[in-house]
Amino acid sequence: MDREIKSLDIGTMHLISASISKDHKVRFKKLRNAFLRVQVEASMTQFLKNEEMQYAEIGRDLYALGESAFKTAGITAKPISRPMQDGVLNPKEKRAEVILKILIEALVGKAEGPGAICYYSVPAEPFQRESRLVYHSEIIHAILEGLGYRATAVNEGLAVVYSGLSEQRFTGIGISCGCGLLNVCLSHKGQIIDAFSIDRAGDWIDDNAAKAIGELPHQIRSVKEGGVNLLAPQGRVENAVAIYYKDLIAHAVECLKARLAASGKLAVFKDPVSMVCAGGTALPSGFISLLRTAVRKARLPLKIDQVGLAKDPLYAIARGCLIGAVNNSGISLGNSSSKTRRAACRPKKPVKSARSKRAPSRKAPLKRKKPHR
Amino acid sequence: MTPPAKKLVVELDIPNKFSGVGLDVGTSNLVASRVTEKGDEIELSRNAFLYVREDDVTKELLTRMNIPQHKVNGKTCVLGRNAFDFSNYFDRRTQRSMNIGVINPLEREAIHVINMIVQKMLWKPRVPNEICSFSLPAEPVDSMIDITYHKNVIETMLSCFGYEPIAINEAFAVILSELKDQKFTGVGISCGGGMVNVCIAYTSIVIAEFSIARGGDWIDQHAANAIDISVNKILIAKEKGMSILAPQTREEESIAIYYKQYIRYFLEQIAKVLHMPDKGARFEEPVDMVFAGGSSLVGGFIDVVRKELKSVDLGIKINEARMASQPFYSVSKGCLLNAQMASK
Repeated sequence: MDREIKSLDIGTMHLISASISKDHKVRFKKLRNAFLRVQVEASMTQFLKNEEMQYAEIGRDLYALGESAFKTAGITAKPISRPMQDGVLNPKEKRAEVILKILIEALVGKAEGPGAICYYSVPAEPFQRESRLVYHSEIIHAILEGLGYRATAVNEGLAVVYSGLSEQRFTGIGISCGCGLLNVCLSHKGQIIDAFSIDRAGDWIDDNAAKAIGELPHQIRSVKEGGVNLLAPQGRVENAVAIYYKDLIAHAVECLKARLAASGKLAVFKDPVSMVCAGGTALPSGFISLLRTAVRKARLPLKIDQVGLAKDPLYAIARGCLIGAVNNSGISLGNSSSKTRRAACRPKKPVKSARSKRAPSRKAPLKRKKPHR
Repeated sequence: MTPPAKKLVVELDIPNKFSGVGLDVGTSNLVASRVTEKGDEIELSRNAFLYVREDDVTKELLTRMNIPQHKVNGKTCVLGRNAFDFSNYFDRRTQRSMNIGVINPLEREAIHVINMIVQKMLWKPRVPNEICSFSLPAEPVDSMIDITYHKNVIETMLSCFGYEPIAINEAFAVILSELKDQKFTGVGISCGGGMVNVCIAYTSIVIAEFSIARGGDWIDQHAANAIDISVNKILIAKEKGMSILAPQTREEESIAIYYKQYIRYFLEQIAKVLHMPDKGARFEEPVDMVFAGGSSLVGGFIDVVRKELKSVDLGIKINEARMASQPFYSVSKGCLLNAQMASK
């Protein structure tokens, strides 16, 4: 490989990077996209370093970052701060840009030489809503260029298509189910026919379920992350989560139907297409089953033959961006052929059919890697 | 009663343990500590003074007793332990440069006096701007006392002595000196003469710190009022050594009653704070609660605390309530450790 190729999934909850190593293996790194201002004596920073705490000193303040911020917030019962909200930079956090820069640098590092490229995910324009997308995308772009990469934005939904629909020749619908947004992309042979985002996603479920039963959103989130079966919820919290998941899915399918109906470009699709989902919000058991039912009932203007979950759903967007980088840059991976390059990024089974298999467990595909600073 | 100091050094990876000074600025006592090539050095003084008459008899008496005299704003006074002893002879109350954890607003010469006491006990800085970490109380939860003025006074004083001052919360200093094996996670409580300082920390990150404006002075005053004797007599009874579990005299009985009241009060205040939504902690495991400070030295203190803890819901699980290894020196030791670690 003559160039450094990296990708970055800029999610509201997680930042995930992917890179191709010299032996052509894809390596992922993951960080929680979170921070927390903590009160620490200046003399204790060495101790925190020894304890492998992820932190940054900005001015006189010390911030716990990533997973450390998440854990500390849980123990200190303080609300976590997030550099991003609704899929883009959080306008309420003055430190958002600085923190995001630190986290991104911790993930992708500085480019090792000239010509290094990094493809990063960006959400699509929101459906029926004003967007802060340009500012967000430009800031990420500037951060990556500042680190020495030639940065290219990839639509988040298209990244899911790249990752999960390679055997369908990148034709179909990719849905990235994140924390801040649902990103939907209708693709024909890797070309975007339509793409939009919906401002209801994981956080919306947490907030509304929390309000409904008088809990705090982070308590709902920890129950969700502990594993919920949406088809058979156990207890009050899980029940609230399942209710809002069903509402979210119904809303998403309704939005999709409206967009498809207004598209006027569906004639390019001669055959039924597949729908593939990725992202942390798609992880609970029963999600695909509920989506498949909603899609069937909605009678969409475009025929859907399969609804499934991408392999390693949490890493699928970073993987998709990496596939985009390899395919679009004409980069040589040493002696490997174009086919080999794609194979390096391609999941073995791009789409798990919801018809043939029940929704997989959340834990099985998630091989969590220790975040690196 | 001042217990002998043992080893000061907390075994941590400190780049230069021969740099830095710790100073516990307490309402009743001042304790300075540092480590030199020869070993640990500790200086302590009562944070008290007493104006004396200017007549020849008093001067002769002071000279005979070998008590140094000082001039404050033209008036003669004795300082520190001498002020305490001298006041006992004549059953007078000592004057205090600090009250309820901060500079005493009722003593016009408080700053001058504390300057003299600290200058007397503190060493010359070994290097220019050697770090001196001093203890500072947290904002009280049950009173309107402001610590800003006090902090500035101490900082200015130490700067004038050639040190670089760094303030550290008094209870966090207890955590630093006593909870190293628990990775600085748990509850540190400093029971001083003026207030109780509390700090809850997770891996040295402060979750909550606050003070309760009730300390040893409150016990002394109330125990004295209850049986109509002077505070000095109460102090003498405490200094002799007693147990609040088995009081032997009328004075001890009164002290024991108010000690139990004091312990119950500060535990209730801690519970109240820890139940506030932004102050609570959710430790994965039960944590230790460590007590330090002169007011925790009375016999039976920790037994009463353990008993009272059974009836108070703190909102966090306590693994063990225990005394610091050196309760009297713990705050100074924590300040020293902070100074050593901050010294590059």
